[in-house]
Amino acid sequence: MWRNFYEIYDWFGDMVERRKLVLNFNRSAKNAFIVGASPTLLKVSISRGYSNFRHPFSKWMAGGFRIKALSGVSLSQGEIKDIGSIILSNDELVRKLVSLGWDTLEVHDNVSSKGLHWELRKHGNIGGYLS
Amino acid sequence: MLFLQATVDSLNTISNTMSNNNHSNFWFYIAAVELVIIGSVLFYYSRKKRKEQLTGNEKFFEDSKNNDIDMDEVLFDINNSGEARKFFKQLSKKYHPDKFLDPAMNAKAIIIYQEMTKNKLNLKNLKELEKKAKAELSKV
Repeated sequence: MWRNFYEIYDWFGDMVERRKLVLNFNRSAKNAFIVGASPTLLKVSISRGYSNFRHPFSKWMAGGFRIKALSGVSLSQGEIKDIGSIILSNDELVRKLVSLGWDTLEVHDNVSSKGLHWELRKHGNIGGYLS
Repeated sequence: MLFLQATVDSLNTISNTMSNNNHSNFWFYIAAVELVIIGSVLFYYSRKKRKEQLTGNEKFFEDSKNNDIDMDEVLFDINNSGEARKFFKQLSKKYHPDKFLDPAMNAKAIIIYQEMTKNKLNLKNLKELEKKAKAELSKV
């Protein structure tokens, strides 16, 4: 009986933690933009993710961590790649994303439809846990 | 045992009050609140115990979930990626392992250079690595 309670409690806990992570990122991005430290405003949203990138902890229909650059000018491929690389080079963040049910990192431009996506479980030194 | 006894007592009080159809009874609410508090305490401690018993993958992911990440730092890295790249180029010219012919120094330089390559977009870590490189590779 307790197991069901734990599962329900953990599910709500995960949802709260996911929401907190997204809000923290958006707040920091907004602050950086207002202060002038960042030329573009970044915004994170939760997307469906890619079905090929699924892992056992993936959230159904909510596995995509999408970073959208709200800039007036379209971002270059290099800039998009840089944003992705910085996120992926942060092992702690990648592990947290994977454990909270995200499987895909997407970086998108606001002006055009161009963007890149990465499979999170291949990063963060997760090793063979999820293979 | 005390918890169980208290839970049973509060359940009895609730059922008695319900059967009397007297919902405004003060003791009904007291017992209900007591039940909720006891249930929460039991749940909290059993969950804590369960967490301590976790091993392997489950523990790894549980720990990852609870890590606090400073998003300001992540944003700082994103905003300074261009500067970090330039700084990495400077460092790689200065501390490239091929510049150190002594085997012991060369081995140290390889390790530091690998760390630099890994953190080439992270300005803060690169600055720390520069200090490390200065301390360890300038003893010639």
